[in-house]
Amino acid sequence: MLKKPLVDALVVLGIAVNVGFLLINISPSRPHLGSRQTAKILLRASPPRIRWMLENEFAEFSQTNDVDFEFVSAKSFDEVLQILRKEKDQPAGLLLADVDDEHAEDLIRAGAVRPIADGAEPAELDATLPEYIPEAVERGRHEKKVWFLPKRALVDVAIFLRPAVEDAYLHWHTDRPAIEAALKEANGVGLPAGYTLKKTPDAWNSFDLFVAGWYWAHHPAPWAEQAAVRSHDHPPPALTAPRIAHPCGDNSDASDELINTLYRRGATDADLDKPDAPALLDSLQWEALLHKHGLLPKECDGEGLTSFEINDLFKARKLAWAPIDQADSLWVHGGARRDAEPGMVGASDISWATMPQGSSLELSRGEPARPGKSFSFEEVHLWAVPVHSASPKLAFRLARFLNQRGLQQRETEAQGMLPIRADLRQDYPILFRLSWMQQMLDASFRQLERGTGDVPDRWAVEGLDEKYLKIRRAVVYRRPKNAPLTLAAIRAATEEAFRNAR
Amino acid sequence: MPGEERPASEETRLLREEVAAQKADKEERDKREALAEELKNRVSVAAIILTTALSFIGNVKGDRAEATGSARSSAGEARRQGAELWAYYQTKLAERTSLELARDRVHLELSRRGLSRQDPEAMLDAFKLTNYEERIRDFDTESERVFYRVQDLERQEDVSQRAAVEPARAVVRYELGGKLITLALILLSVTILSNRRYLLWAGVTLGSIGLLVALDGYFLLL
Repeated sequence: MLKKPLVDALVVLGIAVNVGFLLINISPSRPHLGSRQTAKILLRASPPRIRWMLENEFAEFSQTNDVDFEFVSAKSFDEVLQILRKEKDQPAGLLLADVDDEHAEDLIRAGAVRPIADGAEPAELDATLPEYIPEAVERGRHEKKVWFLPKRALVDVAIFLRPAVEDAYLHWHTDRPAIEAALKEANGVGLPAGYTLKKTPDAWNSFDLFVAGWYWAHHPAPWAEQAAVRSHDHPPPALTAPRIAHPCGDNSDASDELINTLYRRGATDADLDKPDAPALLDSLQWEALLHKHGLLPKECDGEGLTSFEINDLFKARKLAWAPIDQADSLWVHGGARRDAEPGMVGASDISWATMPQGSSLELSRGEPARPGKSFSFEEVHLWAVPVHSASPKLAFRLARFLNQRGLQQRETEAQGMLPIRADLRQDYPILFRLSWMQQMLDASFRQLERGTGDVPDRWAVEGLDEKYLKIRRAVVYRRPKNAPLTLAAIRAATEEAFRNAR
Repeated sequence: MPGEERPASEETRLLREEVAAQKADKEERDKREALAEELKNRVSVAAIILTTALSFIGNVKGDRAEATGSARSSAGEARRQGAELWAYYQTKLAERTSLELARDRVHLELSRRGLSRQDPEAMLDAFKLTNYEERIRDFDTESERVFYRVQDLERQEDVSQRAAVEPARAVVRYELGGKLITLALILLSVTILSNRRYLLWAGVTLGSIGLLVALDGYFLLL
């Protein structure tokens, strides 16, 4: 009795399936079954950068995965941390966030994120991780669990104007007596024995930077502001001004640069918070000398300078040498893509080098007593999944999509970064074809070989960043300009500043 | 024994039994035939459904394979054009380098003679220098355009390669579904020859699995 209805049902079902296939024939592409969902992405990026990412990266994912993206923009990673902490208590639907390795542990401790591995099958994760360079993967690991996926990396290198270096190399001898006198006042000797300015900033140490900075600050520079204006637009006369700069004042860029300087002068994690650490004294002595002789921009005396402001000055050809990361390099130079913002006038004059060796001002038998090294902390940006993320699986899939080779290559060319993909790092001389882009990446990878590391947690956790900025301000910028610059004087001033900073 | 005759009732009984047996045989035969007929009908209906589906699946598989092929050929074309333009770019770059060398030679010559380009004695050098600088600038503008075009083509190649992934996944499923349905049709053919009912159900089950696999070619759920 039951048989007939069953057979009838099967026949009807079969016909229905055929009708279904007939309809599929009319429109054979995959249907978008679910309703479109909205996902919020937290990025530490400027609105133009977010717009670029939306058009060139997120749009394709949006189309194929039925996701509409909304972006929350943060100006700094401290702000990212605040937003994620707030998200933990009052979820607002964040799917994925852009964080840096410095704040990664804070986020885990605060319970603001969940492991990104939760959104992936073990086999998928095993296939994904070998695509990235191991050091970057390690920055995203905590207690053997993968909490974050690497997004991009940045490391400070030196940017300089080639004509400026040529000018200094050819003519610095004219200033040698004045330079010797200025140095003698601080180290009792002057320049190292048999000193000559090295041809390339890649081989420079602190003395070379001082010598070039001195020459630039005391002579009109035809390669500077004047060269930023075309000859028929009546350029200004060549001006004399300080031409080297690094972040200064009380901002976070200044504290980042300060710890880099300390490590270039040989500091270790154990030297932090020690008033008599030679690396600290050497750094303060050099900076006091640069300040006294007006080799740094006058803004360092007052409000200070952030990286952004320094980039602005460089882009206007007002500087000849400055530390810079890859993203900012592209902003100054102009990106390597059609849709990138135009950069400096005469950008072909720009070149990059590793950071100078942080030698001591004090000499011993005609050589720097402490030679220091070239060093720069590497900053790794990571993709994080907020603890209340609606779909960790989608978040993982999106992070993996954004990290794929083609997109990461385009982002490197348009926005600037150090790729975290192993294949891009290996093949960068083939893939990034513009010579200036290769120079920048060459200098960056050389910097990683010469000296790099991860910023010690203590620096921010124990508030050493702010404390050291106060000490620098007291020792370098608050003392009278004619105050002695000997190591003993700097040591005394530093000890006092430490006492006051407690 | 002669003269002895079977009783009529016995003969009748035997006749009746034979007739009954023949009747039973006929009924049995009719029943078998009816079942065979029914089996044939069901096989026919199942075969019609599966054949029709197979035909539709073949069409849609062809369409998806074409989409995959088109995306791949677009990627290939972009790669080819990119390579050609890149070779052109390299040639431009080599020309630019020769101009740079010429410019640097003039600079070195001026430096050796202790002159600047503003010196009246160096008028010809200054003229040449300006000319070289202008040509280098033009080369930069031109090669920049070529470079951007190469990048556009690389992007096109990249996007096309990704666009080929989804239809290629569909093709695999349609193909597998089609093969399962073909196997089911073979089983249904054997059903008619062997008159085995379980083969019908085996064929229908296999065909249904084939249909489901083929449907996933559209939905791509698995």
